[in-house]
Amino acid sequence: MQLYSLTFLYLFLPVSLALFLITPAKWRSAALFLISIAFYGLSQPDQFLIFCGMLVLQYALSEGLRRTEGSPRLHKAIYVFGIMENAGAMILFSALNQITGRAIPLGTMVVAFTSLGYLVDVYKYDAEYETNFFRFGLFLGFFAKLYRGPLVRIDNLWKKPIPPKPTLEQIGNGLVKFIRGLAKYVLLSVPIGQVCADLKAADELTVVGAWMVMITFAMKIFFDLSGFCDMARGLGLCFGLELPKNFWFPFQSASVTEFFSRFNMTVTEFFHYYVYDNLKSEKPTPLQDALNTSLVCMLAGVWFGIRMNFIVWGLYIAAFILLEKWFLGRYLERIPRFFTGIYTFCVTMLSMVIFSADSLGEMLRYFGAMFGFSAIFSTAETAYDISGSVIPLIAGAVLLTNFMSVLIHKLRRRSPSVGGAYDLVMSTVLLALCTAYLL
Amino acid sequence: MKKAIALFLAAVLTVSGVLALLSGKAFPIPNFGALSSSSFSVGIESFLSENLPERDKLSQLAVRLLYLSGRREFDGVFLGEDGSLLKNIEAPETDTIEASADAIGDFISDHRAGACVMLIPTAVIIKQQEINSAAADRLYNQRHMISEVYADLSGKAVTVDVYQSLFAHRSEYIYYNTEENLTSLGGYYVYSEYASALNLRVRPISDFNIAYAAHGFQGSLASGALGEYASGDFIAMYAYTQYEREYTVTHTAADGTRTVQEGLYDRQTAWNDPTDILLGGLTPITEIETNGPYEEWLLVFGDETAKSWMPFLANHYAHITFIDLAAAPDSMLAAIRVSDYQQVLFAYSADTFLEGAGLDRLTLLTE
Repeated sequence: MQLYSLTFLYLFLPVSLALFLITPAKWRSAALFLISIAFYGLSQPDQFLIFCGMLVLQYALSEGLRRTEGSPRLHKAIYVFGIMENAGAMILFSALNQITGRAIPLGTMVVAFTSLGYLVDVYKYDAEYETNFFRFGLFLGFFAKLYRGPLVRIDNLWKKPIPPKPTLEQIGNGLVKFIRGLAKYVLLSVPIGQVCADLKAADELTVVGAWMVMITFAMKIFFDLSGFCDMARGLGLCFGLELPKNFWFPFQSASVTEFFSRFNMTVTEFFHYYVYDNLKSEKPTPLQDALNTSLVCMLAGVWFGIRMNFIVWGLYIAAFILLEKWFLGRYLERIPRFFTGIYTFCVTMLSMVIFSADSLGEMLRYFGAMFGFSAIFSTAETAYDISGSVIPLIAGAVLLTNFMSVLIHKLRRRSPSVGGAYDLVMSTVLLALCTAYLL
Repeated sequence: MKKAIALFLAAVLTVSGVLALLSGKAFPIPNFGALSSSSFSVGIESFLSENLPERDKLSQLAVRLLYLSGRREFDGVFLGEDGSLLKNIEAPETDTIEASADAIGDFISDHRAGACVMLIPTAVIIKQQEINSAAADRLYNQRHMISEVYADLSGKAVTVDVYQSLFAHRSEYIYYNTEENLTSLGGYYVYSEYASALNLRVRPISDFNIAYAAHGFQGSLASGALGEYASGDFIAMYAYTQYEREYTVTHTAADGTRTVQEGLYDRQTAWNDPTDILLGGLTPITEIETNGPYEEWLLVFGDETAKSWMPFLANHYAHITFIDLAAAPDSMLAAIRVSDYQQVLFAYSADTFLEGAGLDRLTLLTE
């Protein structure tokens, strides 16, 4: 069972939501924690014990820190162990993934990053300890955010001592958001990902083919990440949790700096808060600034896994952010947004070459083809691969921009009831289409 | 309005799930083993996939949308320009091809029978003009595979090249539109090549009367939602008219049950698969006895394609025994006396051959 499975949609979600709603307030955290555990058990039975072990260990570390407040050395030792244990888990799972091809257990990266942030927060007295095991477990392992986040800080998640019983309006909003995320994944990311794979498998790499591989790859990644985050946010609302927004139309940014701040926002903010802000001095030298920015961007790449191309991707983005900060920015401000948009689009598409490459040779081959060093401009094969998924590609291209969002926002402002009717009809249609594709 | 949305969507999700549960089909039972191995989750998913209300209409909707998107390949099945459904073949492991060819070679060496090998290309490669040229360029090269196998077996068996003949007749109705098999006409062309290769007198097509049945049927490839875009099929039954012939077809099921049918075609039974009209379908062992002037016995190791060409071979042999190696139990294979037969024929469609066709079980035939 996955978030995008029929089992989740038509059995697990209705049953778990009903159970959650009839649970008395004081047991609600425990109920939602058990729902999360049950979800994990059904979706990843072979990794269930690893996940539970991680949650228990993190709780033990939190309690250890809390109970050793009076013993600074032991307190610090536990803190350092916690940091190293989480970093070590990330490295270990990533390494196993690369060496053996074994998938990284679901949610372990999210749990490790979230726990790292929590340990820093409580150690520095920026947040209070969470002593309730169920609430702590939910903070780390709420089932909906295990796939792609968003990353949360404990102060942001627990604004109230117990998850409030969601109102019908919130559940309505949540279901609309969840179905929208589901549609992004099932109707856009998966078919566009197939186009990308087909184009990549072509015998000859053409100029058009190379650009289309990168554009479809970027679309696939975006609709995958933002789709899962929308699902998580929607389910969070249904269960009384407010999760932060993670994407804000990054591909229509006017600069790479703006792109970075709109793409995987909670991850970028996470590293800004825990790394950049801790490293920066009042008057940083350009070298310090460069190092700090590079480190944050590199870590944002590591979020996707500890692989050389993710690290290089982060450094590539950092290079443009620094270029814009020191030199390019003042020119970009004077150029019409349309052209800065094209510049950002090209830079980010080229970054996808680094992000997606399996080897240095492949990376160079794609860069060469994209800059026109391929002998062939396009082939019938490229056209065939694209022609098989025209609707998802057009829909995806439109939804990369805020065009529809602005339109619907205006519609809602002008007539809330029409906006509501739109939500109802669109959600029903998308649910039917997703179900049709999942059958 | 948001309240209405919440209630409506929650009702849709809940009612759909409940209706699926009330469908009367067996719901997977959870136990520790099933839960810890994902098989419980997989079982529920397929239960829901099969029993959700309006699943057929939704499935049709998905295919329509994909079609509108420009898709002409659906789960490995191409929709041809002429309305035929053409199943794609994935490139196999070379080990499987070598192992199958070796199994045939070893069998021939062991039994010293006159042997003939006939690998029949599938519709997707013969009718490749019906699909997009870029897609056609990516098709698995069946012709090359057949040539390689024939080269491996050269000197051991007579090899029959049916590729050229089928390709020359590709615009005729030689493959079903919605079934992965040759039609009787396709079977006639295959038979002609076989007979020529073995110096048998090829009966001209004008020697046969043709009757038709099952007009407009849709085969297994059209199951699901693809049938909407596919042309229907029909069955052609070729009856030899030059001499009075009587045929007896005996079917032996896997449990040993034998049924006898008079004549090569059975139009009386309501078959699930209309192509079973031909020979009354194929069982693990199917035998044809003919009261003609011929005395030779033929042993055939083959697959479903035999329905199309074996009726024509019945005019050349006193007795034909067809064996489906993948379906016949060990004891049945062990009871076969290869020495009773003057000719052995291995005849498989390319995709069955690539999947192994159970040829490793040839070693069970000892006599």
